[in-house]
Amino acid sequence: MYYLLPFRFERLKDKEIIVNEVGDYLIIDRNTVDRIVSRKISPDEELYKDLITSFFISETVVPPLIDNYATRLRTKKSFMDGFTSLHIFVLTLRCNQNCLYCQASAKEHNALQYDMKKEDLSRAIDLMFKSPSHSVTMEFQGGEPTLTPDLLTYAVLEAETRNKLYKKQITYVLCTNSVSLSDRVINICNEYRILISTSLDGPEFLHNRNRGKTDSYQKVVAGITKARTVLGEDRVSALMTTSEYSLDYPAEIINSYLENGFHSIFLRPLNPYGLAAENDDWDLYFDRFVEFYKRSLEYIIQLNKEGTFFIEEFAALLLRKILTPFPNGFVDLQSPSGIINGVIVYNYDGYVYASDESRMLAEYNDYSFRSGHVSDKYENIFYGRKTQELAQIWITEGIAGCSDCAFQSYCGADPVRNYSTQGDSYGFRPTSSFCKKHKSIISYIISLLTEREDEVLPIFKKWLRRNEG
Amino acid sequence: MIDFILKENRCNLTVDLSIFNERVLSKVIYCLSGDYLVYQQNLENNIQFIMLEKKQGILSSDEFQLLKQKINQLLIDYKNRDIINLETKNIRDILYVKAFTNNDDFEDFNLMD
Repeated sequence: MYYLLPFRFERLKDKEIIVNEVGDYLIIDRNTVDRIVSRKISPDEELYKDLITSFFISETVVPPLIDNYATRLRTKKSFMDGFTSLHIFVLTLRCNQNCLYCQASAKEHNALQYDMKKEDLSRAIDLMFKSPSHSVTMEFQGGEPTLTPDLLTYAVLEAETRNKLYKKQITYVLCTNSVSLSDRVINICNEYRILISTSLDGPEFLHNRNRGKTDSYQKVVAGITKARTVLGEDRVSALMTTSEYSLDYPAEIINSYLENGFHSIFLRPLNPYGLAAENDDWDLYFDRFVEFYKRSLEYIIQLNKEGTFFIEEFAALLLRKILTPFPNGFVDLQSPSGIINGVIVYNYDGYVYASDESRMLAEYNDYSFRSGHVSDKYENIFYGRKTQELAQIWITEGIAGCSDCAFQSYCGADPVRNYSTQGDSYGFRPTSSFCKKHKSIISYIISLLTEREDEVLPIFKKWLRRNEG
Repeated sequence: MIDFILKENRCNLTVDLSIFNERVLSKVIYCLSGDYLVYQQNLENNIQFIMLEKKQGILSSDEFQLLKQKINQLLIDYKNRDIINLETKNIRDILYVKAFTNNDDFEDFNLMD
């Protein structure tokens, strides 16, 4: 006779997966869960020992190693310790590109009324320093933030000056399209060790089409080269966005990253905000995206097998959750959700939003996730009524459709996405594209780990070691 | 236990609540409610009548057979989940208390006694 411990399960083809409270999993034969629950697993079976050691069952009411288990659970949720660590400053909505899927509702490059006021920027920096997190990331976004070098310089200098008192570890990130990286901006980045995160959608024909320009690719590549020359290769990273057009070109996109000297790619789908929200059929898009993702990952695995070290970052984030005792720090896959807990956005107009996506909704006159203004008290923004309302629906452990899901430990809650796609922050999992996409990709990665362990595990372990390094 | 009837684009079923309780049924219906409109009615002798009406298109006899299998599977799985949740509620509470309470103020009772 044994006692059950909390776990969740799911059917996978002809197998079942069981996952415990800290994300450890076992792949077992069909109908084994029924045998476990019915107390039909005999102590003589090898499975019995696996179930005991992995905290699925216990021979005592309270497992002898419950303190170790509790410590592991706390480690899994340790991203909560620092509270908000990513502070996004939208310095301007002005931009110099015409991206087809623009999610930030960018404005004409000469529309100066969309720049952040210095007094608002100063107050936002004050709020950032009130965060209990010892390590904070100050991320500059737009529009195109390099169009406001004065604000960028002011923000960094103010942060450096005030940090003499607070002594936080500050990481600066400049999110730029890199098409007009001036010497001045590069010098600021060099002096204050600012990381550059740029956008590269793939090969020339695809990137230019997505950006609505004929010369964007050449300018971006020139910008990346210029930044690398001054800042160093490891200080420049790139993100891609998968437009509908991109879905047919997985190998071409990955090859373009290799050709441009990158060692990883983050296969990122469109998000239903801004211009991208005008997409006709999201269900079809996400079905196609999952297939695109699988083809891309297969290609990347093949590259690694042939000796080219190349990481798919989303898979690496999931693998960190699946294979290690640690959280991954990715705000889109957290429970409690990354909004406010992990990220906050100070918009160009001084208003504060729960996430980057929240401020994108605001550009369409939807202020549902506005948490306050930079002139408000820290407590009213970060612990106020709006935050309390969101807190009731931002944990996967407590919302319908997620609370019983086997992949709960690997996934996250996203009330803003639910609201944007389904008109309801709580969300409805049976028709949620977020749920469908994550379940499909997690199932796929689990199937790789199960069915092709010898082939993929050495590659995945290398990816995780790189990330930990 | 469960009886299924295909009738006018609808799947009608009756479920014995002494075998599959309301919690289990609610979760099964939640899973199906993306594709089906759901009507429920309690009958005599602890029996619940459920009518599933397909939201889009016609419910063919092949689909009906697949739906029957799916519902049976969901009922069995959610019944197991319900048992796991009920039996492990207290130990889960203890685990979370141990993980997240302020240890300085936490008196560690000897739970093994």
